Amino acid sequence: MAVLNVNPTRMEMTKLKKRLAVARRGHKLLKDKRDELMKIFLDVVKKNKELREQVEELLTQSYESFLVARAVMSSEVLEEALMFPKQSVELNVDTTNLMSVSVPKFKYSETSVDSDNIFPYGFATTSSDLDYSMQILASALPLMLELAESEKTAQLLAQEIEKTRRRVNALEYVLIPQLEETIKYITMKLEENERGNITRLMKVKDMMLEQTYKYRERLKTPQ
Amino acid sequence: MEFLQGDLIGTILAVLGAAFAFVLTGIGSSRAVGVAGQAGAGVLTEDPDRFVPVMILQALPSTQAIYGFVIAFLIIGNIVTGQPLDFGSGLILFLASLPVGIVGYASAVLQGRVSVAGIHMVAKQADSMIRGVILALMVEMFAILSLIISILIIGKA
Amino acid sequence: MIQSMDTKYAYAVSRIRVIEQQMLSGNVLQRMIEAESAEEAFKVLKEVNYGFSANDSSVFDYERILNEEFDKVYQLLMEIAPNPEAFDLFFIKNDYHNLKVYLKAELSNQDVHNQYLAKPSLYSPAKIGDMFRERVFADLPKIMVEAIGACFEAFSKTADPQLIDIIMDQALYRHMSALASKLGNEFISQIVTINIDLANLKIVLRTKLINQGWDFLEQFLIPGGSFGIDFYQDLFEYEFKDFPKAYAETQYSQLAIASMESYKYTDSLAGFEMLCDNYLVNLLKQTKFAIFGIEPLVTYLLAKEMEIKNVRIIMVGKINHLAQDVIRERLRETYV
Repeated sequence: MAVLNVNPTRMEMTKLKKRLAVARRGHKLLKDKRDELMKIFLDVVKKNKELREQVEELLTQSYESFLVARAVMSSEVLEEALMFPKQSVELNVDTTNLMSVSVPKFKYSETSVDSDNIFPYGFATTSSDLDYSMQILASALPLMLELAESEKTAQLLAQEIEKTRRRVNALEYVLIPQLEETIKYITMKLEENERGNITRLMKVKDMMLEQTYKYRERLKTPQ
Repeated sequence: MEFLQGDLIGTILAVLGAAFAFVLTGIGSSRAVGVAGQAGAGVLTEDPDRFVPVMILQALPSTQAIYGFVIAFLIIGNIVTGQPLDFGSGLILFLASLPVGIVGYASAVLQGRVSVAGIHMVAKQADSMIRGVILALMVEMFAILSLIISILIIGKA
Repeated sequence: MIQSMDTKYAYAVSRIRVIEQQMLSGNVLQRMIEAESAEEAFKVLKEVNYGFSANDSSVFDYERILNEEFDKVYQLLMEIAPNPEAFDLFFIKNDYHNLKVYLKAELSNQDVHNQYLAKPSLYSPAKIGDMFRERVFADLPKIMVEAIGACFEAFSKTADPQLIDIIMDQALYRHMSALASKLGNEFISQIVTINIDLANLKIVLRTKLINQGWDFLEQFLIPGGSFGIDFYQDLFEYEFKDFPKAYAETQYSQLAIASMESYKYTDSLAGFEMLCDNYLVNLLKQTKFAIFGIEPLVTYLLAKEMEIKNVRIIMVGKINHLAQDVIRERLRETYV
């Protein structure tokens, strides 16, 4: 593990220790955030799956009756029947904050007087399968919007989870070990300096004592 | 109108009968053959190979005109130039023209329809000509009967 | 005259009798249904020379081939009918269709695409387009002009495109009735009346299915059928299962019973629509042995229309890989 390129001083070490503490706290918070996001994400995905199945079921049904209508009507009549839609849908996109992720929120309104009579065509020349197909499509629209919303939410959440996990990992496997290593390195360096100092001091002390008491000469002269 | 009371009355009646017999049957057959011909042309436009059965079926209603012709001929044969017929024989000859004239006309027109139907049968199946002909000949029978009756009446003149 | 009214069709009827032989029988349709793929089914159409250009087209051109085939029928009738205008009432629905397209395009600022327009029509779509540009409709029949005016007026009040269809459909049937009574042919009048009656029944059923009230239904109903407005007002109060009772004394009693049975089991009106078509085909079959008159020609036209519908059902089914049974259930009775 690489050691940070710092001066092995006590001040530096204090700074590093502070950083380590912050990193540890951040790591814990991020880990919590990741878990929480994960939980929400799973919920969204589950809901998403249900919605998707529902929408797909509805669309299949709708296409089936549309196909039959298509089969019993000539293409011109079908085109004419659908060329001028009766109602339109207005869609407003807002965003809301979900675990600091801004997810879209759809609001839609239909411009129709009567939600039962959504058919822009006459009944004399068209097939009733077309009605059925249109009805199902109409009932699928809110679900499809909801599905779009929740799919986008899931996508954004997944990105956020990915980002958070990268951060957690960066903290856990890079920054924190690095800091720990550096602190250890500084500690060791400092201790080594300490030991060097002590040795030096002992030597100086020896020398000073020698000067004062002249032990060596005394040992040379016979008593 | 004097001649009606004169000697010629019988002859005139007989000639009227001859004309009546042929005119009616002639019109009937022409109508029938005409319609059958139109129908035949319709079939032949689409399928020229069916010419023979179509032609036979078309020709069938023309027999009535032949019967009318025969009766007219027989009636005229009873008129001898210079010898005016008396009123009684003239009337009989005139009456003799009625069966073949009226029945011939009706049967020709109706046989024409059967012929058209027969042509439609040929249109559907090329080999059904014989059946069509037989059906049309059923109508022919009444024309033949009327022909016989007319001949028998002429014999009484 | 020597030629009476009905025998002037002798030539035309005989020709139709030959041509009728080439109509697709139930067997041919079965073969198409049982074909392995849409391409195989399409090959059958090529064999019987459907349309003008089946040989160098792909499966997905089937719609064009069907149009061509109908065009063939139109040209044939125009050629052999002694009085081609007698068939106006069967083609005028395409004019009303084209009018609807132009009206809707005009009111929603769209362009009219060629594939929206139906052929053959009495008035060429280009001419109708010109009329719309100049806002002069003087050349059209009075019923059409009035209907166009009513559409513009109704739309300016409500902005509801459905009204265009409603007004135009009613005008169409009025126009058809008028033309039929001008012709004075009992068979044709009968067909028009049956069309109106069945269209009205369909409208009643669909109105009930989408939960609309009598006011809504009333504006939809087509006048001129065998039943008055009171009949439908009563009918509207009935449950579906009681519908056959309302029709008990009429020619539609069997149809009503069978339709409601089918609705009970499938929850859809598809069966009813099929039975309506079959009802018409059975009516047409009565003319199978007619030797004179316009009836066989009308029958050929309508039977051919039904045949094209059947082919379309099969082709759509085949291209979209529907099960054979599903296609078979939807198939209309064949005339031949």
